[in-house]
Amino acid sequence: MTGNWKLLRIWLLIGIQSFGGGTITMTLIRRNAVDFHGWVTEEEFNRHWSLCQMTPGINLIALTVSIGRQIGGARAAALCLIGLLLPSTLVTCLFTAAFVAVRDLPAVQGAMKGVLPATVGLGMVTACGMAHQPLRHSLRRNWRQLLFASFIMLGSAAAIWTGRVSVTIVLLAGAGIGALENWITDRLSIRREHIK
Amino acid sequence: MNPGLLFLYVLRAALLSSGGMGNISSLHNSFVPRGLATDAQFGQALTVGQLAPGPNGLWVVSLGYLMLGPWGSVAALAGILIPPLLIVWIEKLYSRVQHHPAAEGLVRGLNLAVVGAFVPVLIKLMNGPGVSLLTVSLAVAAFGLGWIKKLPVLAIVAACGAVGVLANR
Repeated sequence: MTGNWKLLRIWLLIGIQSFGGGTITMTLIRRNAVDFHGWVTEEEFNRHWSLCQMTPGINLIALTVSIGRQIGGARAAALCLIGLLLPSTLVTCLFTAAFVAVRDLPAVQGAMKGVLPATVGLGMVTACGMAHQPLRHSLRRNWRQLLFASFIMLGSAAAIWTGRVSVTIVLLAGAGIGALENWITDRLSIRREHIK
Repeated sequence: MNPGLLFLYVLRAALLSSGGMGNISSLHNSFVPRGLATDAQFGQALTVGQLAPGPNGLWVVSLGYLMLGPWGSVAALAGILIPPLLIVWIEKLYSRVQHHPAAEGLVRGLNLAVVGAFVPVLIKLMNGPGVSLLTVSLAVAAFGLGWIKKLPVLAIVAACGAVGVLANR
């Protein structure tokens, strides 16, 4: 059992070191939880992560809460969360405040004309990463599933692009269509098995 | 706009999305058409989110700061903190419905819709610096460098920023 202060210190260090985005943060959490401190096994870590994919909002916060609960209940989860978010939130605010102070300088405005396209490009990498898992899963089942997955994705993009449909409706429709399609496919395959 | 309203918008967007950047389209749709935030502020917040430590999803804290100052960042942080706490309930629920095909399809459908809704907003962010051969080339270069994962994000952003400074002298 890790003591409260030690736990907080470990997660503060994870929070401070995690420059480079979600992948780095996830790597640091995994190393500490599985390799260094043995709070969870490799298999348990993967199960926690899978469930976090189904949780709304930031997956890494859900992962921290999930691992924290396994370490020592609600108190440990709260300490882990404070440790992860305190340094990163403070640095985010400091970066933003510093940016607000200098954003009208000509050099900064010039830099932003290069930085914003970079953010768009890096955001596209994130989008591809988010699409990879559900598309690969559909492809593994059959081409019809892949076609259906592409329809949900492209249909959502087109609906948002027109600006006429609320994002909430687009997301709920995507979730509803996905649930219905998977349920119907499953029913049909059970019926086919039954006929055979 | 006050911090309480910002909290509610961020909370709703986070509840209906997955991942740190999945809420971008919902927030963009809530703020930009109403003049509560600009494309430039979204771009700046996303940049800070890429550079700061921790989950990329903290870009919303930066957006809150840009919109309403320190209280805005507190409201935004509270809004993104609550939905992931549902993991506690999801762990219990999942053990009951994990084998139901509709549950699996619902999550996959939501993820696909989130990605689909995310891309048009990213493209619209290009209106900030303006669409030109240079800005499109920088976006494509950043995508390529980000994809191969050989360079840290900080180096990619700094290099593109340096090109921006040189091109606008």
